[in-house]
Amino acid sequence: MASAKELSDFLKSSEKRAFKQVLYAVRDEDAALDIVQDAMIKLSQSYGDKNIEELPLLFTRIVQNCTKDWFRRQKVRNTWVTLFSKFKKNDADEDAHPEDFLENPETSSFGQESSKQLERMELSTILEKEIEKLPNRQREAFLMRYWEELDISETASAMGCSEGSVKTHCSRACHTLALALKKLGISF
Amino acid sequence: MNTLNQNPSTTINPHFAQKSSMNDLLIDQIGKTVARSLDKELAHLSPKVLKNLEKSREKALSVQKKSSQTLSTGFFNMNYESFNWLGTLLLICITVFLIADWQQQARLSDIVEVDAAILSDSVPPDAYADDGFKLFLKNMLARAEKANEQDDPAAVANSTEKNREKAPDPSLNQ
Repeated sequence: MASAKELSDFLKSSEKRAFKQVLYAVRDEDAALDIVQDAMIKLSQSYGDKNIEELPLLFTRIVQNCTKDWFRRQKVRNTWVTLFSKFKKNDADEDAHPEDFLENPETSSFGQESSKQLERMELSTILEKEIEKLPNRQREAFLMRYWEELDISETASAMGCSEGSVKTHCSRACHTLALALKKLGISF
Repeated sequence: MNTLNQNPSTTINPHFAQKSSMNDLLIDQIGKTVARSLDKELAHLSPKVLKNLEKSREKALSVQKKSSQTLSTGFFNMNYESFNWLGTLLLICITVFLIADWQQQARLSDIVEVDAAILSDSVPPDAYADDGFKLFLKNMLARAEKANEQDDPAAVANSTEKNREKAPDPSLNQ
């Protein structure tokens, strides 16, 4: 059984990666934080008595399921919102003045931050963007296989697909990322 | 890079197998390079996110499931879940036994009531086993019904008296 300290250490070591992984999928920081919190609580509540070796795979699976649940909920919510928005007159858009959309030059961070932004647009940032663009299954397979360092069978079991599919997803993801790296002048 | 999707298990040509394994190595290399870059990016998480993650971790740790071994009994060596399952089964068995017992008691009390009624009746119990007596009762009831239809109480009384005279003694048949 994992002690409280072991569980705490495990969560500490994997929470950031889980957060990033969810963020790539949902593209909303608050939602990603909520999903990771849910996953942590579920892991602790339901599998807190398991051995520490079993936790990484369980946590990966829970994070994935929570993300899927979030997408399902969003889909249902969007359906209702779209349905009701058809009946609602949008007064806000009619009253809006074009100048409202212009940024205040005093508070704008364009000039001050541009150099900083350029600095941050380094390799990892570009790669992150490329990973965000990947199809969901390819991204999941790639991140589990190479970032979380699960082996092919573990990845296949977590994704609920065959090992061959995992290899194909990883291969395609790597192909896309290799092209992005090539554009930056990095070739393999 | 077009050859990345080819399945190595179907290869026969050793040259192709070598090429395929090189592709696998290349994919691994790309994957590891990207993973290292992503690890570096983790250091740039905002303090707000880090704080939220810490809170979430604390919340999760406060609800950690304890080992079920602490709840197990030494003799049966079973955990809490199986105990629940056995408890439910035991409850069902007890309920079924109680229902069966109650039905048995109800059946016995019915028999006792019938026996008491027969024994306390003016007609001896042997009469109920006699076919002639049954026929007599049947005829008597039919006549009584007929008399009721005619609304003549005297006729009913006469017919019952006559039937009694004609009826054989049940004790003689035994």
